[in-house]
Amino acid sequence: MSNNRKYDKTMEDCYSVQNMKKASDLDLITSAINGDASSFEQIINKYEAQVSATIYGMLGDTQEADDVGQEVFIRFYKSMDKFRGDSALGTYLTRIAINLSLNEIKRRKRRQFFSFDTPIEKELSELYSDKESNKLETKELVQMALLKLDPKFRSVVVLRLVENYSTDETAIILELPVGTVLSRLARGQKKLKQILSPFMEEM
Amino acid sequence: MKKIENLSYKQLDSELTVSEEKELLQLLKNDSKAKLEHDKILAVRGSVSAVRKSSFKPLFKERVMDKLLIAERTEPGITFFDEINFLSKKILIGALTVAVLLIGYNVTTTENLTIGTALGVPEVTLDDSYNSVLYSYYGDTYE
Repeated sequence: MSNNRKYDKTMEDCYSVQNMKKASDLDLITSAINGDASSFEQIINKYEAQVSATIYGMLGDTQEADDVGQEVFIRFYKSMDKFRGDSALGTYLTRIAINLSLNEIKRRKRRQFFSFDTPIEKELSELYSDKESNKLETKELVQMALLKLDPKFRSVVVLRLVENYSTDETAIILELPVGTVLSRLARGQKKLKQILSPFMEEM
Repeated sequence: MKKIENLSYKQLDSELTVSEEKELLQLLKNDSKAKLEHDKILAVRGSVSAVRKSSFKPLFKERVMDKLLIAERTEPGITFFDEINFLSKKILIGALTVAVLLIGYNVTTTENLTIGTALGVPEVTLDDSYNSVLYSYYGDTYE
């Protein structure tokens, strides 16, 4: 009985902390809508890490990633008045980040089709050949392996494994059934294991 | 090997049933290859979680705020080009409406319905073309 009470208390605390967080986000948004630039700056400070993790996971460490990151906050700024607080602000921004990253991937594919730029696959094979020379960094390699995944698998892997969202939250963000998220997650991880297997000892 | 993969992923991202949990434990205990595969899966997951990059390039916030400021300055309301764009859309819609009305009128008033008549092109009969050829040949004497 006392254990149950303790559990209820913990849950209550959790909810109140979450509500406080949500309330303060809404306060910041209201102030920003009323023209307080510093409130919007606080929003950027608060969510830069989360947004950057998503975008770098999706696009890799590129100049476009930074541009897409800026675009996420600009888009949010322009539609702030439509934010009703149904979901947490972090989740809302992550959704924008995923959508803009997917758009950027499509644009990148079009650009690659019409240009002679080195495709990602080539860069990865170069990394493979550099295996002996200590150039290879695990992080870099994993990042490249992530970029080899089909975007629909990549988005699930990034949200679940990089951003640590639960499978349910991932499903909500991507507007997919949980079953689809689970199967894409498994397929994505299998592919990653296949790509990274030759380097497993070093990792 | 597929079995251990499926069970491992299910354990990590979803929930195993009691029997599946027992099966996984058995596999990990008795099958060294399965254990190795399970460890690989965990290693890949660990390395993917570690790629989290939690900030953009320095002065990110400043860049966003600058862009917003520029956007606000350059969007003082409806610009001249917006006006032209808006007007041309109106003209286009008006022209299309007139064209549809005319075609409708032509379709309802002509007996012999062809694309030409619908578009208001005068109907040319075989006699008309025949007469014009004969007229050009005989001149005024042709009657």
